[in-house]
Amino acid sequence: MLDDELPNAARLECETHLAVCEPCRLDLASLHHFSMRIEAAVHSTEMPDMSSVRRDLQMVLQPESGKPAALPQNPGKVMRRFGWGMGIAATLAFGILLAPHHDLSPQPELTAETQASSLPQTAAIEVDGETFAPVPYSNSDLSTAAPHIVQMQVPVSSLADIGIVLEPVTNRASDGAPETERSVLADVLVGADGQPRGVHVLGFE
Amino acid sequence: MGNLFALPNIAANAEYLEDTSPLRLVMEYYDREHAPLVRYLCFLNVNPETAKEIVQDCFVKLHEHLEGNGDTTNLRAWLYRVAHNLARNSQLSARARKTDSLTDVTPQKEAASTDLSAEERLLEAERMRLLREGIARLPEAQKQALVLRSQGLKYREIAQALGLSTSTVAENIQRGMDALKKIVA
Repeated sequence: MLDDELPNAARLECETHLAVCEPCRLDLASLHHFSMRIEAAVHSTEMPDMSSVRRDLQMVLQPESGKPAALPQNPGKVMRRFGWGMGIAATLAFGILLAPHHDLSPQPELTAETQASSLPQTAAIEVDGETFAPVPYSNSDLSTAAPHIVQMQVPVSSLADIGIVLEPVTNRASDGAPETERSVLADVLVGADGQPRGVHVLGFE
Repeated sequence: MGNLFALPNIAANAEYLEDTSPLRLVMEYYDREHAPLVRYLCFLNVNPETAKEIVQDCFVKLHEHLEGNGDTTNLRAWLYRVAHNLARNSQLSARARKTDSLTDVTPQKEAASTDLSAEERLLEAERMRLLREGIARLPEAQKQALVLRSQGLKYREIAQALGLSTSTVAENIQRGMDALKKIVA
């Protein structure tokens, strides 16, 4: 593989030597012959049909709009390139959907069912990261900029009146206590008018 | 049928020659280099379909490179470097489901030579197969350098494409050839 990459001085020296050295000349000829065979072997590799690639490339680089278009890609490649991104996006979306229903505060051994049918469709009130179930008869126009939150025992019956039905899931929860006397610990968001605006159930006693 | 006596369209030819747009350069490079690039990728064990995609990506990147006034001193070496990197990325992401094998370097259907007898042709085809398999089994560095050299790249271009020194490239080519000689001896 002697070629024109040698510096002039080295090339001259080689040529001078080859002119007088038969074994080196034969070695070089053999090397050259072997290089040609390797080249032929490499060039005999089967080529895929590339006709569509040139056309696609031209379309991508010179679309009618004049602005480069996106490459046509097979679904496998799209999945390989964007699969992780799509997975993460789906997980995030799933998490966002679940987040409002996931309460980290201690829960009573009760099931809370918000009877949506009996409640007006009001958005939950969020104050400093705490979510309150809105009390339907409160004045929703009042500001929550300076919130008053009171922690108190709230009778289950009054919660039922606003659509939050708490039902005992164990015998212990309802042992001895009449339905009317059961209560739960809750944060109550008090509006500027002194009326409760929302309730966040914290625990059951 | 066209008018054979019509004068050549000088204006159109002049317009073509004056066109120094990135698009024209990219298409010229495509016509010249796409086949050697695909061959090189096949020897890197990239399957033909992926090789086509990589080659297409290479030329889109070349267009971006030219549009962004990138360095144009050795675009051929630049193209091979991009192809090499894209192939490596593709293989890393596909390692788990790797189905490519050395046998993917399949022979081209050669035109029957009238100068050789059927037996000689068979022998020649067998020698070519042995060489191809031998090249495919070489250590990566030697294989890459040898295949690029066989595609007509100069030592300094190979060095630029593979991110090596010229002397390392020369050494890899020499070792590769020595190993191949032993294989086909």
